[in-house]
Amino acid sequence: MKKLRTEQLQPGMVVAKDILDITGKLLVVEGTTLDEPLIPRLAHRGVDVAWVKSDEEEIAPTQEEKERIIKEIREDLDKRFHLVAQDPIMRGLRKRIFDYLVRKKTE
Amino acid sequence: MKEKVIKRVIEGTSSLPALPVILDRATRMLDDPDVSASDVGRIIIKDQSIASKVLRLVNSAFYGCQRQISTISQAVVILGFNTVRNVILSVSVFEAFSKDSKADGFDKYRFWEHSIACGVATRAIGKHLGVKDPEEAFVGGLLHDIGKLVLEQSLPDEFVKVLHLVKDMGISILEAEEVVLATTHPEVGRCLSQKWNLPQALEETIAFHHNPTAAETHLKLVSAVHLADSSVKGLGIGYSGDELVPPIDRRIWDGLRLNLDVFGRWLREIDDEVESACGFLPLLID
Repeated sequence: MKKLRTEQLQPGMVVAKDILDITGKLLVVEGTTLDEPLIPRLAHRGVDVAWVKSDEEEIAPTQEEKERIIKEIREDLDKRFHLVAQDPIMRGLRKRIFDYLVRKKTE
Repeated sequence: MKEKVIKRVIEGTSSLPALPVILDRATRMLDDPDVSASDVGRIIIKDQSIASKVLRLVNSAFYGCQRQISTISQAVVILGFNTVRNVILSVSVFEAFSKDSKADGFDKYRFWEHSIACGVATRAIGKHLGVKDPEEAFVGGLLHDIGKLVLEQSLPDEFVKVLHLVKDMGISILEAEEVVLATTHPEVGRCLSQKWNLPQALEETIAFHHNPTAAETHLKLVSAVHLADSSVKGLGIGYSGDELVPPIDRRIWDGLRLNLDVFGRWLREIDDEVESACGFLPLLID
């Protein structure tokens, strides 16, 4: 079993744990084989990661994917923190959130 | 102008619903030491919709109860009066506001997501700050932005203008409310909590979450909500009318002797707990 981010999912993979949306609603039941139309729907419902059956080790995101994710996080935080960018506490908070989200989404 | 708006919203022939009678009766009963758990159960069961939601909630993973709770009086015995009162309060408030948004562009579902995340975050931060009642902390975070719901429901056209101003000018919803309405969601929320006779602690979290040092008797709880709001918006969970992280009050930060390393750890904890509490929402708004 391995945990993959939604964009790494491929048709034919078998879901190893029920996939829930952010509200806890069941979207895909364990044992389902993923197909072409299902995968983008998961992303659309806010699903970031899913467990699929596998004998291999977890696949780490490529360098290119990592860079894209980091760029997205940075842009989002720029927007959220633009009114408090001069405040030293808020700058520190932003850095902690940035580090945390980068680790969470790229490792 | 300000008084006029508030009067129009709170007292006028606005569409603002009353809190279910059940809440008031249940709260008074729960405060009475001579009342038994089965007395409380008998009152609540009169409102079937609330009773069934209370039971669904207390049986959800959120309350982590090992055994199935099948009656309200059983819930009171197992979880305690305080918890049950807070569950009834949360359910009643959700019932009082319509599920669909009256103001275009205001995503109610994501608004409740923000609110629940704030409830969870307030509980987590409150624990570190020594806030005594974790349930009260949860409800304090859950309901802190209730003034926005009042504005959205009672003055939908003006509220749409507020949302447009937020987008067009890149200002916070608090500033935009002041421009359009000459009042703000904490002020309107405070009037509502007085009208609804909510507990003092909740009135203070609703009124002072943007300026916590004004809190009169519940400084720690209000500070926890204040910090939770900035944390949740920083993490990008849900939506509450703007996407801007509100500044943390320096006096609160220093007064509580917080530091960024510790707070960084709390953020991770909050994010984890919010993820595990996300089943809460459909139970409330179904």
